[in-house]
Amino acid sequence: MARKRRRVVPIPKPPESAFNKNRPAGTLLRAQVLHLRHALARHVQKVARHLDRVGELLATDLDTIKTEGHVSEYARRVTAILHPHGGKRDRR
Amino acid sequence: MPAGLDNLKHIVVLMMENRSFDHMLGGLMAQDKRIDGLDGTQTNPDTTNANIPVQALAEFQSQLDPDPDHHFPGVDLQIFGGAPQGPGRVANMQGFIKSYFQVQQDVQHSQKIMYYFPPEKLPVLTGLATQFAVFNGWFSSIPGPTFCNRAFAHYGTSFGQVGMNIFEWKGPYLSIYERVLLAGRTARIYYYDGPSSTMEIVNILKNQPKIFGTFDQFLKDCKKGELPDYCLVEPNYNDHDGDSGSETATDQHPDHNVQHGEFFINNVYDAIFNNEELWKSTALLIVYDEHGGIYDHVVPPNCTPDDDAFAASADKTETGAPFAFDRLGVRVPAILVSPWLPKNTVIPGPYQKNGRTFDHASIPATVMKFILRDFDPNTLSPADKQKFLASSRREQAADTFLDLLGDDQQPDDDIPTFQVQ
Repeated sequence: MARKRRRVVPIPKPPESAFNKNRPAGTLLRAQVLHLRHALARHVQKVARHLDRVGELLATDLDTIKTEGHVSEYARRVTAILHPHGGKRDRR
Repeated sequence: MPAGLDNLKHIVVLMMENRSFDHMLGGLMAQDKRIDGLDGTQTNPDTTNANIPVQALAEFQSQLDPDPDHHFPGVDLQIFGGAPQGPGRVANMQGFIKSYFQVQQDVQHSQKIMYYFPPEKLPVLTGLATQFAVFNGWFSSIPGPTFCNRAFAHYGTSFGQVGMNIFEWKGPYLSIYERVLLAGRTARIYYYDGPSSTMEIVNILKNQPKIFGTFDQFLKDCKKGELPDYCLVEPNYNDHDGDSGSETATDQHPDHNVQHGEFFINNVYDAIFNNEELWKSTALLIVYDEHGGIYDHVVPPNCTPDDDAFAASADKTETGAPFAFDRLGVRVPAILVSPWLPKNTVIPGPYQKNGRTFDHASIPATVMKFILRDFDPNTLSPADKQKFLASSRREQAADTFLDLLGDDQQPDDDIPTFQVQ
């Protein structure tokens, strides 16, 4: 069954002049930039922590991976770097 | 259980920026005396000691520029009128003009902090407030700025922060998103787009892939009926060039255009309404993070202090006195939208008969109640159960709002749709 039409309330259109990307950024937006830079720095630190492990994993001689256990361990370590959530062991 | 609560599958929170209750909704008192707004008799002294009354002269833009002060010491002045720190000091909401004067040293300009919108200038906000439910007593969580107030919506605490400093999650409390995920349910923060980004930086550090989406995704999820159990929507925080033209800020933070915020509120409301199943199963809360330094006449009440570990020192508050998070911030607009609300519901505030007090800690408290309806925390590992149930004193004491949903559904043909003239 089609829905009944709603009661229409008109709203005015704002002026084009409302947009001004040259408006000086206020304290909130300046703080947001600071917080974002902090988040980026933390992200880089996190990635940097992986670098030695990345080198080790890249240098691994794949001929030494012979068992399913070897494969799963290598996959776990690589996945933990590429996709931190997916690489975690299920603790439940 | 009322049918409205029984049908509830999604809670959506839209958090706007920096406008007080009286500034946006106070004018509604002229048409509905139950609304604790303005009757024209409210005044504040200016710096010449002239008493300046509230006036319905608020404009959409260019009036509150420069930005009014809303940092902790400024809000302290607004609430206490400049009375020195000490026992027996009484909150009187008499320092708003004095505070705004300090920003530009202009007596005439400082009086504009008392201006409010006549209801007809804000058809979307006032239309939703009078159709659904408006809270007379929803306060910002602390008398301070954006980040610490938004933190209460995400964590039920600001971990002792009263300012705009960078902070990171400190145990033992998880964000409400993490808690919902632990319960095997879904949660998301929809930020507007990349150039606007999010104000929820702490979760970007910890949970970016799991809980973030953009507003485009929100619209698609509404259409497909795939909204998460709980989500928070962020408006556009800045003017920027987008893929399809100019993107004007919609957050209503001074000095952004208030009408664009009205459009955005309408877009969120419409996206939910246009999916019939979603409309019947969603409660949308529209709320502002803090008052932005703009006048409100209701004295923020005392509240349960937050955890002892989170008390802010006098150095942090910059007022010469510590703060135990035992007083709420200035009142903000808050509207609950759902077809299961009796039309024109007004929830009385703390100084009214049967009054109730809400703040942003009410958001995680409500979401937890919603999740716990049909989730047994005993199914979690002991460690996860402890994390899932841990909450700050403020969150534990916060009132929740799902009891407002009733048994009867408002008919579609009485529900407003807002269309550009």
